[in-house]
Amino acid sequence: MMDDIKELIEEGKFYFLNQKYNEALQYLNKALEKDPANIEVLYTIGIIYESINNPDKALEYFKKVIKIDPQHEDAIIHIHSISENQ
Amino acid sequence: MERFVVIGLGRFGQSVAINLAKLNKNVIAIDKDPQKVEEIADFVFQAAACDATDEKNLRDLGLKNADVGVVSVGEDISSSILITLTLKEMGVKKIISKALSQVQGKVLIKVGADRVIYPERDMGERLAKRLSSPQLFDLIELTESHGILELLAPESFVGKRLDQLELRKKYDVTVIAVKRNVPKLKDDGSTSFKESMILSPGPDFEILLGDIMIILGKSKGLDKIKKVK
Repeated sequence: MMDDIKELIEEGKFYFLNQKYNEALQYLNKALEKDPANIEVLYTIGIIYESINNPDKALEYFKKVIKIDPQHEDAIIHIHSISENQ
Repeated sequence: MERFVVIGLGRFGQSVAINLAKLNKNVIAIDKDPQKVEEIADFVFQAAACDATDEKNLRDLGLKNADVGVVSVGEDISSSILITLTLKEMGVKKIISKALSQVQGKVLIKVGADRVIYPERDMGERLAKRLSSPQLFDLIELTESHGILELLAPESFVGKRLDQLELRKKYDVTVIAVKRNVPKLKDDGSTSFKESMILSPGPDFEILLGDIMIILGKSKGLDKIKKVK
């Protein structure tokens, strides 16, 4: 199962890097179905939403990250910068 | 070099002082709270803890030749009036005072403020505009009939080239730039992005999800394009 998730994350990142955001989200959501508390997946989804200027959804996922790992510095930085710009 | 004096180092005054200093301006920051002065001391040319309502203190600091004075002493309107008046009498060339209400603003103009700002009101207006129209980022009115609009690309534009959208024909507007977050991978394998600005995109430029379009045109056309889904 771990291999499955890893693959789905890689696919998600690949599509994100190629600016195919909907496809990226599809793969990452599949990964999330298998492991709803996967920080890497939640964080990457947050980044995707932030990059496509959907700050509300981005916040939702970054907050999920810090709920699981309150010390996740990158997620905290993103929450702060989104809140400042809103 | 222009000299700025910022009196009152609450959040607003502190931000003004630090940002001016970042722009390489000569800034003197003043507050009666020594802790606030200490916090800002490393950022500005000079920081002083003193009572700015006492004219002698301001003269001792050599503010007579200051070019711009920013008075942001918060809710204490009597201090704000007194300081504005003193700076005016001392010959500070331009005085900008913070007010919380229009009544306060009028009084500050009467005693010598060249400009009054209402940070809370302005912030409230900005937030209301954002909340009422989340797709709309900013609108700059150039003249009564023309403006520049920052707009999150509507869904129906995504995946299309500019020549296919025929914006000039349909709305009499021109896309002058596009702000786009370009995805990237960090060294540790995590994802990130970098904001980029594409100036005067050509007819074959393809709009992607999340693009912010900066559009110049007649207000009528801009109003129409705002409603596109």
